[in-house]
Amino acid sequence: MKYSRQLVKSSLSAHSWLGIGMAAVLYLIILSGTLVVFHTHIERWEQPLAAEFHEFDAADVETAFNEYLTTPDNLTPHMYLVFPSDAMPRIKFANEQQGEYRNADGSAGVPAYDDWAHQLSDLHYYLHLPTNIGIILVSAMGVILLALIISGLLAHPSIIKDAFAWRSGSERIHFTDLHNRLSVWGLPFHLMMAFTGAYFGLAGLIILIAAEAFHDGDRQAVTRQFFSGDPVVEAQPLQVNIQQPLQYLNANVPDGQLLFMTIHEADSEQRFQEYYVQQPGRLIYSENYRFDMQGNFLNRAGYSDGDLAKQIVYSIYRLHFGNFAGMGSKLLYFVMGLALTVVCVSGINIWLNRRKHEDLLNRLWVAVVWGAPLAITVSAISGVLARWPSVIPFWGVLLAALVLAIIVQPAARFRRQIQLAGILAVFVLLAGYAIQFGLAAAFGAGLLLTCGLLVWALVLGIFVIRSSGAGVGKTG
Amino acid sequence: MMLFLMAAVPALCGVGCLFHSWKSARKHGRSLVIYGWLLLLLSLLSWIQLAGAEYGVVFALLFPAFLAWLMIVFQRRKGRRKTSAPRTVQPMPAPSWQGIGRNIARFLWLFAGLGVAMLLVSVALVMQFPFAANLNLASALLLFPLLWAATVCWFLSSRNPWKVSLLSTVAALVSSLWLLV
Repeated sequence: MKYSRQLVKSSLSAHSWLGIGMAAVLYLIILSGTLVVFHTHIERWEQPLAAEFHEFDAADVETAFNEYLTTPDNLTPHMYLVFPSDAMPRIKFANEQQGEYRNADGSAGVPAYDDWAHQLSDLHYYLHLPTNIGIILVSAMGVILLALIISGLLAHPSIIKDAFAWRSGSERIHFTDLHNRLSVWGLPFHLMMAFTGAYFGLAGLIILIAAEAFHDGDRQAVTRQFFSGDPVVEAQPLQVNIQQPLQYLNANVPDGQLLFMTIHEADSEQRFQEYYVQQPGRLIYSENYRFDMQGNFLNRAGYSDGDLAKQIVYSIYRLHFGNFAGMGSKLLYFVMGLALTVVCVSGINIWLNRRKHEDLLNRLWVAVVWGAPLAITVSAISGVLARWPSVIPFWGVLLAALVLAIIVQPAARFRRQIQLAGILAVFVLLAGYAIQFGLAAAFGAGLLLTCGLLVWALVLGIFVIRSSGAGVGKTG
Repeated sequence: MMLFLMAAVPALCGVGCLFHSWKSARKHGRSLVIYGWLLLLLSLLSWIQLAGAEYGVVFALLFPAFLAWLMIVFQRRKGRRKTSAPRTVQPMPAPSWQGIGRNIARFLWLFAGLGVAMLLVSVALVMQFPFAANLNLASALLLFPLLWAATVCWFLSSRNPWKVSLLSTVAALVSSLWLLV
């Protein structure tokens, strides 16, 4: 395909302007999203002392859940019972504020700490901003990613012709080829992330306009077209029967993976229970089965075989987060997410390398790129080891890195300092974790995270050793 | 395992064909490209056989990237990477407040202005689609980000961004009149 020189030039200018303006925010969203792929593993790592099993006694769990439900302090409008699954082989009772793990016989286990896992996913969903603003801003970043893809394709007419090229040469050529090769082959994934990421916040805006235009402002009328409405029940007791629904699901959905049960309107007499069952081979989040509190079947939400629109909308979550085919899809998404992170970083590195000099901008970019993983590690020390809040330490460390960038010094030296701090933080975290929970926990429920952290420390070590040579690496 | 190999091997051969067509430039280049894409298509069918249509399409789209990246890494010319001479570290020049203000205004227009404009245009457009009402709205989930992103690119790369802004505003006004009045 022949592009005019003017089109290439103006597209490159648009690509650069968008990339430079949005790089730091995009980087935080992509990095946290890459880690959030392993959300359930992070939750397990955060509380490794909970009992793990796949089989449980439904009668015992029912008795225990009813005790939990009827304790006045626990009752909130939504109550949750998480069943053991492959990704999370634990039973958890939770309300809207907190949760606790239970043993296979329903007896009390340990508290469910998941503050750090949530701060990580909240960073990805909302950038820790108020929910309504954050989700729209993050979704708008999906649009920016899409705009970067479009302008990137128009700005690089030889991107297909050079699909396999990776030239040796200057640092700028290295980053250019890395950026373009990761981008062109990762294109399907990048498009998927841009569209599905944009959905979460922008859907609300589409509903708002459609409601004003066609339903006199009634947003529920629009959402009912996609999500099944609640069944109508009256005078339901607070005591719940879970054995009967479990028998029904075993008989009617033997291949499904039962995830959790929610009691809706738990604080009113219109309460009912809903079971979320994942369907093999389907991208829809789940098919939902509704029962009254005595365990009588009411209806099925119809996400698995309902309208095409319903199925599309209900498939977006798993398509975005990659949790649909066990560890295989998670690893696939993790590697593709890392590649997208490198695309983001290398794009800015290309621009920084074009300049003839180094200044504060080089160090600020180093502070963002290497300060964010350090901030995530420090927030884990706070959230997982000390059980303190982890949002403030995250932003505190990132801000400190940005402030330290003001000190005039070569960017390479500053980068090494942050990388060394990153290695130190990983070892503090792992040592503290082993002391607090024991080595068995670190290599049991927390195996994946423990190994991941060790690999990260090793990668940082390699970067530090490689960049010790004079003059290497002036960029992020 | 057998089914996995039936999906992975054609993908490997397909990317391999594309790689060789790239490497050998003119000689058999065109036929290798065709074989490459045909093998990737075969791999798609095998993935669907292995994991079902929904997972299969996702795997078929993502898996070739790994193979291509591996080939890129292995064929990389082992030249010595030039280390550029250390650059002078300079204090950052004082920012131009006018420039910062202009860029912030641009961002706000791209985010808020063009965003709202394309939202209205998208909803108005999808309501002309001949599908069920909810499928029309679901199409807006694709159309809205696409239109918004395309307009952002057009605005930023245009010699006359005012024209883009004016056209977007007119389109949004017409859409809002149709939708809300």
